[in-house]
Amino acid sequence: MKDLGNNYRSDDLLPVIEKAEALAQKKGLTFHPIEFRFSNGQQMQEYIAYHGMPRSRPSWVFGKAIERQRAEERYNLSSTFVYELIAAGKPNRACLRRENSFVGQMLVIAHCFGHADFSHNNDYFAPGRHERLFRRIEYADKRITELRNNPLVGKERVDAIVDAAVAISHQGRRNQLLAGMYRGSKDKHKLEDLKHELGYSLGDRLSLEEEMTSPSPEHPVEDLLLHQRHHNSRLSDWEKDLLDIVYEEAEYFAPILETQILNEGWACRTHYDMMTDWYNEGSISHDMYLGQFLKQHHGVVAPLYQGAAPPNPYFVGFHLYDAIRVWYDGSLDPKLLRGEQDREYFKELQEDYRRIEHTPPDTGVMSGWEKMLELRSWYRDTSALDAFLTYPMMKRMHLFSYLAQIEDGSIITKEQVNRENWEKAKSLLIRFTGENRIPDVRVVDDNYNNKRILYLKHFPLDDRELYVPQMFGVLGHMVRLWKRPVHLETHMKGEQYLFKIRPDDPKINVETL
Amino acid sequence: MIDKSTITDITDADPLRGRVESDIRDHWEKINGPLNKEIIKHLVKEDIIKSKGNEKIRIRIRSYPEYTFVFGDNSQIGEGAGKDDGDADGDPGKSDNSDKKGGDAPPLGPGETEVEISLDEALERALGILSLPDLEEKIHKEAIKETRRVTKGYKKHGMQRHLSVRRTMRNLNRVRIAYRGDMEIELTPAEYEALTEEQKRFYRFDAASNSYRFREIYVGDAERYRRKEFQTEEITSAVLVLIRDFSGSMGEKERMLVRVLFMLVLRALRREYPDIVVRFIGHTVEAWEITSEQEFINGTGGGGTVMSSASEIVESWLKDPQSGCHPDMTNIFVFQATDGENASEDNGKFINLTETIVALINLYGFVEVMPGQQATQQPRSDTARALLAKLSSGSNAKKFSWATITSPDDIVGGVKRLFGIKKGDK
Repeated sequence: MKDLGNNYRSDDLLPVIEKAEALAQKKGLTFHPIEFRFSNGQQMQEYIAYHGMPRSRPSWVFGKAIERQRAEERYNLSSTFVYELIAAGKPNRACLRRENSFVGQMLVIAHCFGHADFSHNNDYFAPGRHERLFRRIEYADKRITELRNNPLVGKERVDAIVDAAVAISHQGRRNQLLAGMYRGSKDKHKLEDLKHELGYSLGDRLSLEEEMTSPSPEHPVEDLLLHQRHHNSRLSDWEKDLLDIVYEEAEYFAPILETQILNEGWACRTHYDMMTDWYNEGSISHDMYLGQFLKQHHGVVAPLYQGAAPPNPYFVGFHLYDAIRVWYDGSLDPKLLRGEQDREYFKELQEDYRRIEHTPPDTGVMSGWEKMLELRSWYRDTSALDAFLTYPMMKRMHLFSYLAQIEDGSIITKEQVNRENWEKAKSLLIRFTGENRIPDVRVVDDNYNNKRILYLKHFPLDDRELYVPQMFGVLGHMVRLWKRPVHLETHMKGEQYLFKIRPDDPKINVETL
Repeated sequence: MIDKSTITDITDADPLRGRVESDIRDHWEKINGPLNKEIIKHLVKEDIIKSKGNEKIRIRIRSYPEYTFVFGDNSQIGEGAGKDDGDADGDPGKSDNSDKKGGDAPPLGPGETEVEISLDEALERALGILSLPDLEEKIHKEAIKETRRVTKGYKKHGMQRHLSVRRTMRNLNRVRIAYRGDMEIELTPAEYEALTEEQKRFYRFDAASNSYRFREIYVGDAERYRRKEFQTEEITSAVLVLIRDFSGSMGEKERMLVRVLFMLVLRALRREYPDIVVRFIGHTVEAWEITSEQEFINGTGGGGTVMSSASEIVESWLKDPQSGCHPDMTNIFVFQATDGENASEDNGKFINLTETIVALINLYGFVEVMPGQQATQQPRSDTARALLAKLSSGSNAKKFSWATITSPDDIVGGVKRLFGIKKGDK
């Protein structure tokens, strides 16, 4: 392929896309086709605000996001330069930035096929959900516009319900695969499995969800939004409709949050492998590969990516897959390893596993590539890091100072990762990964003291506290939805507190428990 | 359903394109309240007169918040935070980072938005809150009228002094054009017959000499006289006299409030009177005219307060046709700001003088600036109460207004009050 620099049109990219698709299929990746959109900076800005969705329900939130993007651009403060955006679906929809160089576009197109494969194969992206979503958004757009224009409902009431629903929509199930873990007997599981297999009807689904979301102190409900949907008798039909719309949207975004490292790592691996293959077979020139591609690639998988919270998920993901390739290939047959560097790395890993008396499953049975495919299909960030991250990998990723403190503008390393304390560092990394970034707040009781009080409890993962100003905002939203008093139990500075709010009074009362 | 990947350019037919503008508008609706508050705060920093409308100002506000449960560091909030600001209503107006505004911009904080608007637009928004149409109506009623004779068209007969030389000459030129130099004045019938039909139109048969003579055009037809009519016009010149108390008690807070208030007053009047002239008077026990705006805003004096001293200056201007501030020639608006009591022995004189002034001018506004105090239905100071008692009835009652300003939030209401706009007015 000839390097076209910056002088190319969208048609010039079609051969690249065809070639990338063929290569991806040859590698054994499976995915729905991708509809690429060629967009300029402003259109890109808008798509970022809409999370890459091809259409959207009306909401001021997106307007706010666009305004913020524009303000950032005015000051040149934009923290990340977004090369592409992809929304999983059937087909997937991806946006390519017009400003990318031709080699940059090749990288991005290969990257998109990685994402498409991941979202098609990873278990946390529930089957069918994405195809349904685009149709649902179309419906949501129509329905919300209709309700806003309805003089009996009005824009303000619609927006208030949608905002409240969005505020608690992140408090979904903490593990999409283990639905009903906190509620329901084994029979329920069987019933649900059966329904999944047979394809249940909407009525069945609702009654099942309703039963599963009735809380008790032994079985607190994680899914705040679904609980409101089924157990809030004061919601009218159109309000429930809006909750459904927001719920389905949150369902779409939940796995993206849970699998960020694996997803980005997989996409980076894909584009790296594909570009390297093209270079090896001679279809891209030396300059295109070394001069342009590698520069951009290492910018993306740098330990500190512009703006992203360290460590950069692209970086961790890329190295995690690499480590798995080295370990499994080496344990199967050390001859499969490429180069001296790989062999040294393998020896280090081997030593480490011997020392901690633990080797990952399927060692010596599966090849690196097979295990990588398994990782992208079965795992999410927290489980993958927990199962596979070891000291040599952390050393190789230079996660050397996991406890640092900023004093007088300079970073002071408090503790370095070494053979003794690396497990502590690992657990710290996992705590800031995936769903662990979201506080675990559950409904313990929705008829507290027989007064229809909604009793929420924060189940702490560690000593992190709920941020109070945000918590007050969410409680305000919750009381607007529930229309009766809401209590929230949480810990602060080692003590348990109970926050109480009533629908007729915006003040929040605090009690020590 | 496509089975192969494709690429297309994004067009305006894209469903998202239509969504963007309306969503941005929705966001603006949400932040309108806090934005307007911020604009008023921002206008404090601008010069009253010098500022040009096309300057851009940047206003940073906290955008309408989105709430979710998140982990965070509560140590910044302090002990018992829950009890103090336990307000669940998302009021973006009470922004906790108000001290960050202005100056050289640090990066946008979480949930912050920056708005770039022109000064004119900012004022438009600030004045929009004043429901200005009412304001215009009120001022029109009081505006001075002048009758003049103006030219409206032309006529064929009239007085010699109304002869329009330009129009007359133009008509004469037309005659000259019709008579071309190569034409004979007198023609024999034979010669006449040789002419074309076109040329024959310029000749007329003269029976006395039996010849054809060039058609004479009556020169009187060319004369044009101006048609004069009487017309009544409103004078659009205006003078705004701003009076401020310079006594020692006018601190920075008070000065700031006065500045913003006067600025809004000026902007409101400038819409109706684009060439409005502003004159400043400062007073303590004595009064003096001030030429510089900076001095008027920032200057401080000392000693007591004798308001009649300033009123005397205004009165002398009103009597003097040379002062540029004579009621027969221009519209006059007087606004007086003070932070408290007049010297009690001066009250009688001040009220009498004010009564005289109010009778001559368009509008008189008395402003009490009392930061930190409670605003009431009645003026707080005895002077203002006495003034109100004297002037609130009678023929000049409409020309007198008063307002008490206790905080920046009062300013808009204060300006409305000064221009006599009631809450229900629309």
